Amino acid sequence: MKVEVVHLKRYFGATRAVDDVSFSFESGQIFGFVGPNGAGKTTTMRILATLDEPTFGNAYINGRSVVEEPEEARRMIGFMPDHLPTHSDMSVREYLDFFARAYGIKSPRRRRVIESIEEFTGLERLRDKMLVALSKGMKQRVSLARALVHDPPMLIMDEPAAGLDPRARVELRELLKVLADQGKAIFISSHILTELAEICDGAVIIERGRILRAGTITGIMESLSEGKHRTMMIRTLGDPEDLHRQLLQMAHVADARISGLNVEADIDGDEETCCDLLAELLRLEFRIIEFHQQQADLEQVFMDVTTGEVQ
Amino acid sequence: MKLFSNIWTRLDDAMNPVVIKELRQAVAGKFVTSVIAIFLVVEMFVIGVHLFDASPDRLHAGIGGNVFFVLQTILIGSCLLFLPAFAALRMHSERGGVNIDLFYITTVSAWKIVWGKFLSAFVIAVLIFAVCTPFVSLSFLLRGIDLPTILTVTLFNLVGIGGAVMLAIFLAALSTNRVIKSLLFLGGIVAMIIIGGWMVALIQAVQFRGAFVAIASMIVGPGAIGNIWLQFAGMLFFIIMFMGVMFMVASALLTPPSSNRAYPVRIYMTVAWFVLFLMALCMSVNANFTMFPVQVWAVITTIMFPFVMFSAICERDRLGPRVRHEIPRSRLARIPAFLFYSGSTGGILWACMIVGLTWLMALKWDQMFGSGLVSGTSSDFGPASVMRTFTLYTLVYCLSALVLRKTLFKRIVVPELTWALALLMMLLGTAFPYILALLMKVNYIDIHSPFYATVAFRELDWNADSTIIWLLVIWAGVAGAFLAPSFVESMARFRRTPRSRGPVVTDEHEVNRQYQNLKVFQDSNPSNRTMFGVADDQIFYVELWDDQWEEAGQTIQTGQLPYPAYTHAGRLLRASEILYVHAPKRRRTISITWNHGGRPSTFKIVAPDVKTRDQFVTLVSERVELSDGKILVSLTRLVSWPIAIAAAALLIATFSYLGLEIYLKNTGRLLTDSGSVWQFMTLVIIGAAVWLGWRLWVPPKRRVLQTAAGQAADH
Repeated sequence: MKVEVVHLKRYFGATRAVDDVSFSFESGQIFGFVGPNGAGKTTTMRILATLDEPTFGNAYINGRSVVEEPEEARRMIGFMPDHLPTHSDMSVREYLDFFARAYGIKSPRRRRVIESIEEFTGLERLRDKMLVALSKGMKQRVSLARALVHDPPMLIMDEPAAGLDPRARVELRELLKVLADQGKAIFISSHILTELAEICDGAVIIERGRILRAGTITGIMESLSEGKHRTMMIRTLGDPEDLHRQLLQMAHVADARISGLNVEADIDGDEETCCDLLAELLRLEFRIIEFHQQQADLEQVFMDVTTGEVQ
Repeated sequence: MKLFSNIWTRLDDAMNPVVIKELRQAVAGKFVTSVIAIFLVVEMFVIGVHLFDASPDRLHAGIGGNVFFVLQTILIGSCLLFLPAFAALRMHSERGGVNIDLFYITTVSAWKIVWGKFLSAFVIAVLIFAVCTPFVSLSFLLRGIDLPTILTVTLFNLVGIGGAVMLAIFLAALSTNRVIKSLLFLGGIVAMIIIGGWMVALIQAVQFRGAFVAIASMIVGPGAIGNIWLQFAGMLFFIIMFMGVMFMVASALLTPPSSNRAYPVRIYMTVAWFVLFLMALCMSVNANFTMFPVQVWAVITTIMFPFVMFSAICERDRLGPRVRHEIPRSRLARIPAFLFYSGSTGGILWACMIVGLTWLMALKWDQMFGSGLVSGTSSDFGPASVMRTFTLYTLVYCLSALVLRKTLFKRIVVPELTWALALLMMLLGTAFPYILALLMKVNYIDIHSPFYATVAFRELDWNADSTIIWLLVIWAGVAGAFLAPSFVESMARFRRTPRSRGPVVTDEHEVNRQYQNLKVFQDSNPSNRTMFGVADDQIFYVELWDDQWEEAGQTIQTGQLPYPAYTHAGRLLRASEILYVHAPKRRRTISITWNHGGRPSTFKIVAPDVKTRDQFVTLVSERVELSDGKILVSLTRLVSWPIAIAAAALLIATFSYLGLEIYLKNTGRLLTDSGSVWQFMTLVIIGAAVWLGWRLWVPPKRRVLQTAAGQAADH
């Protein structure tokens, strides 16, 4: 299954919430959607979930247009909004049962489906609890269970990790990995970029409705580091001051600085240059125990490419 | 046992999920249980008081009637107090929060949501009635009331409570701000009091007449009991019909705006209108051709008209792709579909058609039986003048608001708020002449002048001042003439578009390669703004919405193809696939027909005097300065500014002249009638003719944009 967003635009009067956004991803992929507040993430997700109509452009889920055939598209979408379930006087089981009925799942399959989802999301012991009595993490699980109740091939998750404690985040991350392994296409927006980088195959960075970067996580990071120095992290058993002084005297080293027990060196060259540098340091009898290239993380990429402006 | 289990499973699956959810929530919540408990205590207390208070003689004579009346009053009071509030709060909690989104992404339709809310409240009503049954049985045993009366009253009460619940759901479904919600809440309370009062009065009436006698009389003939039961039946039917309207509108309000939300409402209202007409005829024939039922039907239609018009002008002008896919292929079916599908033009025409047909049918009835309904000769209640005034004033203000929204306030007023603009204009139009009269020290009470034509619903009597009616007709005509181009455009655009099946061509580089090969970009995207491109000569035709003009300009200036999405949603065609180019003499459009998958497909473009493909390419090549990379874009505006200003000046001058004349008349300086009304009408007609002439004979504006840096120039 392929999800394609084609030149999507959504205007609210003069405000361009989404401005010519195009990207695509496939089954088994977790695709991140990153951007500051007001960047147009939720609007794009709502359009994908058939809850809003674009001013222009289209989005296709397995070839079905979310604009033209929303009823067909809905069957393939599990949407987890950034709001938690607020239904009062309802237990977890009743809540899931209602949505299973709403998706037209008949008895006795309905019971089996609900039980398996409860088991998958770890809600078995909470099934008779009222929704209002649940913690935020548990509500998030209920929300995920609801989105999965009709076994959609695609999941849209708007800020699923917002407000969760570290344990709940890790658990959610594991669930998402399992779902992706099951072949579901997962489109997820989050502000917690380090976590996204860990689980996502690809990402789109958006600001003021426009795409700034898109592609695989590695690709995005590499695109940012193009034309820049390679920063090498070097650690020696000896005095880092000596290493620092030596590095500053060496060719191809644009800059060097001490960072704790390590020395960071900006290398003006390719991988060959780095190898030569290491060989030279070893020849000079520096007892190197660590020598690796420092990778830019998604957070750094985000900070570099976004301006923080809002519409 | 297994059979029962299977039947139960099937029933369980077939049930509306919203009903199950609502009832589960009602049972789990304390509110419903508490209300039922309090209700029981009160009923027991009342019965107890009646029994202890009654003397043996009264007990012997039968106090069941009194007890029943009090019990029913408490029942109605409790149900009207609690159930509409319960239903409205439940709906509001879904509508106002994020839960409605969760509904939308399931396969539950909007009507199922509304029906589920209604049915769950109604089930609780039945539950409360069931709780009351032992007390009602006791009242029957106490004598003084018969079983048919009890059953009839119960039926009426259930229908009345159902109507109140549906009204509450409808009000809660409205998406408004808190202030309007609060006003609606207050209005709802007043409505409940009125409904409650009516129902209590009904109980008394039924008890007074006795159900057996009344029903028997209804079967035997109307003469026996003054036809009250037939009226009750009509009223019952009307309530059910009205509940249906509220149900359809509430469902439409919950439906996403991109869908064809007006369609079921208009179909239902048309059917209801016609069925009510048949009922009115039957009742009229049954009552010796009394005109009253037809008059009531005509007035109901007239009262509904403003609501329909106000909602119609708020609808979108251009249909979204979802609706356009549902348009019938056949031209014959498209004509009625245009009236019933979502869209402001269709809505206005549909409302006018219904009122026009009401008028014609009433006229025919009037001619047949000579009651004076339409001719206005009757000395009775004059629904004819009410109809004229209501419909004409509503029409002129709605059309005027639409004109203003499409011209002067295009960027200020969103379509959804056109009703507010119409209402504001109505208020201003009503206040302005009186303020002016006050300033000019004119005794406005005695004036029957066209100057006061803007005062909404001023003249209810046709014969009093027919000039005003004519002025309103002319006003509506002028506003209609202004809107005619957009109306015609809406009609022309009302065509089915095929569904797109995902991206076909995804090679963007092919598109952005500065058009080295001759290509035509087929407009197959349903959410289209039409576009035509020939690559080598950089020829483009772009038909855009006015508000996207600037954006297209910017896109072109960057050297990009405008809306490259077409290449994704459509298919690239070679110019050799073009079959022929046709340019009708009397039109400024040419049609290009090409081979589209084995069948000819036509694309319309605006270009003058072109008959062949070579001529077209040559002509456009001449016009397009390749060195500057200019692109020809045709732009047609709804109303050009000079014309709008001229029309406004003409109207202001005319009104000023009329105002002056009125002033002179009132101050005694003008003794003879100068016939200014006719002058005014003549001026308006001349103005409309000039404007129409301009529209017909002056070619649409063309504008040349430069891809390189430079100023846009008008031609």
